[in-house]
Amino acid sequence: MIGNTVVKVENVKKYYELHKGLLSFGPSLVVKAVDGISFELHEGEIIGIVGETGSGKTTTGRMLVLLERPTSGKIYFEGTDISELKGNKLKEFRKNVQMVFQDPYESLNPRFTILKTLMEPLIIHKIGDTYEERVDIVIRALEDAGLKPGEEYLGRYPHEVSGGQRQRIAIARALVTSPKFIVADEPVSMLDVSIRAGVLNLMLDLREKLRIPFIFITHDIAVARYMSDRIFVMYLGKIVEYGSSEDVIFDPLHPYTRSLVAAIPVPDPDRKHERVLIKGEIPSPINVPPGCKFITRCVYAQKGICDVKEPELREVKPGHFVACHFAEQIMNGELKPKEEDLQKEEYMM
Amino acid sequence: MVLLKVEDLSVHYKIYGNWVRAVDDVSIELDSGETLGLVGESGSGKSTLAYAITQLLPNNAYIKKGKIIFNDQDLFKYTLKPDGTLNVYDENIRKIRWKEISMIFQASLNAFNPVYKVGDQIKEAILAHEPDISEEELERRVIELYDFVGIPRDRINNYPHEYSGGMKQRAMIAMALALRPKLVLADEPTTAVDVITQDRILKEIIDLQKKLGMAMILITHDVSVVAEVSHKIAVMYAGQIVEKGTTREVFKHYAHPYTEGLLNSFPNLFGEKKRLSFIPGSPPDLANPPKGCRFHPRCPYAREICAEQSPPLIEISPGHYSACHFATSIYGGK
Repeated sequence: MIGNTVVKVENVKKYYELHKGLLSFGPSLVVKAVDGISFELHEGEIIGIVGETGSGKTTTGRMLVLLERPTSGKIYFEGTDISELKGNKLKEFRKNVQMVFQDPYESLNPRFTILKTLMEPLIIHKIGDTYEERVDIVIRALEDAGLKPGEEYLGRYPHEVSGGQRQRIAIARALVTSPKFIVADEPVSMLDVSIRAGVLNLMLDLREKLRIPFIFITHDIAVARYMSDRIFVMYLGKIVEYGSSEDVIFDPLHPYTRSLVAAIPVPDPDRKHERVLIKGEIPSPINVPPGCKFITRCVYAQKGICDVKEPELREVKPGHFVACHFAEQIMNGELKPKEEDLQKEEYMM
Repeated sequence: MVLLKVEDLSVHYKIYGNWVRAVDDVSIELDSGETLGLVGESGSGKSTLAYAITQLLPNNAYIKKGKIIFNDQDLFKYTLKPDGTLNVYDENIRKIRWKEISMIFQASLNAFNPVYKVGDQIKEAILAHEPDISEEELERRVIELYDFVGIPRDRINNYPHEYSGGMKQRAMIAMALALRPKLVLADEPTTAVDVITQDRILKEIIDLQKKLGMAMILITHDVSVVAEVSHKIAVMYAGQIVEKGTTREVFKHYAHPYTEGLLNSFPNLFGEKKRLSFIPGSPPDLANPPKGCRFHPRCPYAREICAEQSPPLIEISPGHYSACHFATSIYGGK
């Protein structure tokens, strides 16, 4: 099912320099929002990027559609480096990639009818020759997004439709230019629970039908499993683990992923909750220390190794990569968490 | 011992001349030391119910009927004005509020005053109810609370912006517990925090509750959180309770189509990967709710009677209630 590579990301970094006060000296502060990530997205594939607030998952998504330019590294779309695109080529790229944002209440212009909202990209990209033809394309996109009959929605304003329908309109707007890939950033987290599943199913159907690859960004690892073929776990701007969704969820190799999976509440009152072995909270991404970025929260961290050398992503099992020096030892139970950490663990924040 | 009893409560808001029926005929009961999970979507009336219990409704909210009995006192006796609105400033209720019924607010980020130190804000809450407390005793109590919720003591004199999200939520919990209340209402206490922090806060809430023996109402849209924390569950839809019972019973033998839809629309992290079902349509406008069963326009089992008659909440097995005409025929008599 997996086809050609659509997007290739090579060692991409995004650093933000913080503005300092007028009189402060010394080295400037740098936030490493994304710090050297690489992956490939294939035709018809859905990649889920999961992580906590501040892990860099949204910045990654925004760079893929060129809403942000990487500080360094390359992003290739169908073989061309997108940072070099200019003029018509750039416009063509913008037509081919689309984004669905988190909040459908903010991402749609309240003063535009739905027809106008969906018509704009067609006019900008000169898709369709006549007005009628464009209206047809709009109706088809609305119906693809599950809004049937599409004609009924054309004259309405965003406030006249429900939240779930609004997010479907945002998806229709992304579909209207027949994009070659879509980045969806937390597309259901603002929606009511009873309608979330409908929007998720819609995106899965679109992938089946149109073979559009998605990058699906979410903080909810259960949703990521439902949506994605592969899951990438990000922590402080780094990918710490990736592999097929089932491998990452059922056999997590990185101590961070293990805690993330163990922390998810499960809708079954009989299931016994596993102990979550992690300290503190995600630290500030400003001037992070050398070595493994997870060291401040890891109960397995070893002096002299983890605080010195940054672990590289390595393939521990076929197709399953992890960035941890001791992944195997932790997995086999050879490396035990430190006793003092276990005692403090509950009260470290 | 029954600590809280809400009987046939109806709270309607008057908005631009329309009546919005936010809470209609709701009854719940809670014993000391028990946790009730109140589940529903936004607009289902769960927060209105909580604010009614704390007697903190805005002045366009009218109590249409019903009673709230807390610790053998009728709370409306103190606050209810002749026109149906509440006098939130009543002296008697101010003595109960926070001292006996406290609340963990959803947006702990906004619940603290940014220009005062967090510790001072907690002290203020204690002082308001115990004005004669000595300075040393006050200091000791705050330190005790900080130890209790696991924030380092040296953070007492920090301002809210110096706290991380999880820490603010813990401080909020400390503040809610400052006076050892009998009942805590937690309104989406973990929605704004990451999963790992959520996991810790939930564990902490369970621990504290066991230690202090307080009762809690946990308001959330996330059924998995309820499954982990609550003894009992009440599912709200469009201002009414559609199903209630023990958490185990409701999860294992749900008996209302809305509960069924809600439970099946969450992806399960470990279960078999199957296509999620979802509830078509969206929640109704409570200014003009559907006739009959309020869920019928979205219900896959709806028949004629559902559009005509509102189903009563009936006991289908001991302690398990469902408001569906066909609860037993669809889900069996279990």
